[in-house]
Amino acid sequence: MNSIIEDRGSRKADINIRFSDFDLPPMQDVLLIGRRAAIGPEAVRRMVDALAPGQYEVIEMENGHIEAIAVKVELFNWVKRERLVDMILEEVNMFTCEKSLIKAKLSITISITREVDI
Amino acid sequence: MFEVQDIMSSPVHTISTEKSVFQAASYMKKLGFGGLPVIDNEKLVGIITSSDIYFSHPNRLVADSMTKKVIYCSPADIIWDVVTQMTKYNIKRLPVVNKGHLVGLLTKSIVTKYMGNQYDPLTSIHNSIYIYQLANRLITEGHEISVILFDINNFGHINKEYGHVYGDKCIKNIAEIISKHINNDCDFLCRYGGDEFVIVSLRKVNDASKLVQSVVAAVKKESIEMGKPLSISAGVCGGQRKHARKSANKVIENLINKASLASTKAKRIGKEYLLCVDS
Repeated sequence: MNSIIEDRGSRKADINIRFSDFDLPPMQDVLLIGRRAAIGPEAVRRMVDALAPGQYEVIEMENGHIEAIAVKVELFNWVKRERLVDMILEEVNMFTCEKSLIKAKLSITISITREVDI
Repeated sequence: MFEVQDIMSSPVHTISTEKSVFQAASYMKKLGFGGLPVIDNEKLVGIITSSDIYFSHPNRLVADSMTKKVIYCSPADIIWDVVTQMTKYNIKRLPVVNKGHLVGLLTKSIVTKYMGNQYDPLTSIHNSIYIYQLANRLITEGHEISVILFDINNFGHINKEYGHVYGDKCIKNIAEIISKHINNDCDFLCRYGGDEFVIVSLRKVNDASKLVQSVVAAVKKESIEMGKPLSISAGVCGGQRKHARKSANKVIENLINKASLASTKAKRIGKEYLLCVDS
């Protein structure tokens, strides 16, 4: 009597799990929303209102391919609102399009040099 | 049937702002619609159309993709005015709003059907639905109007003697003759009923009677050319009407009725037309 033994081998899966803190909300200091991005300003507004109420301002743009910009309001304590928005838009216009959804992290350092009498 | 609420579709299929563009597209496909009014807290906040969907990411909220500046009308608006605006701005769907709440929708197909109902298929001129609306509009705007009613003499006899096809031909000929004699800037013609034609005119009654004379003469000429008897009688009615703006419909009905009676009387006493002037 002949028997055929088939060796199919063994199959294993390696699972790696990485735990980390969730960014709340899942965006950084600034979020730039293109006119044809996967989410729009109203969706972002509802998200930040739900997850980080009062911490972000969604500013809608009338022209250009960026429809809106969500900015952490705390930044306006450091730099004037218009100045900051203008500067960000000026920089991103070079590499964004209507479908862009770009997050940005700002690092503001204020250098002070004072001369005092000794 | 002068107001939007008489022809609008109701209730209306809507979508809410928190739905995605993909969901809106699926819903529109299921309904076979090209657009949906967008509702937030029971108020109309926008409209999303197939062209909005075409240019938006499917993941977007309807709130972020809808057209926010919505042109709308109220249920009591005059259809005539609304249709003019829809045509002028190429609006395919017009929400009907009452106190901020969406109560109906006026679509291009409803409007097209409505406009089609205002034409007489035999003569291709307007019918009485049109003339009532137009007269209502003119009176409401404060114009003084005259009404002329033409009636083919012995039309029943013509039908019996020469057949209904010939009778229809007579009606078409009369419609053509009157159309050629009116001034489209101030005279508005319709086939009112079987063998009756009505002109609502901005002319004074005396001037309107001159128009009648020229039409009657042209019909006589046509009769000679056809070699068969064809003539018309007419009644002309007009004059000052106090408080007309408050009851435009009654004024129109009254004018048409008096013009009709004048035409019948003219026929009876063997005259071509009779004037009836209200003071």
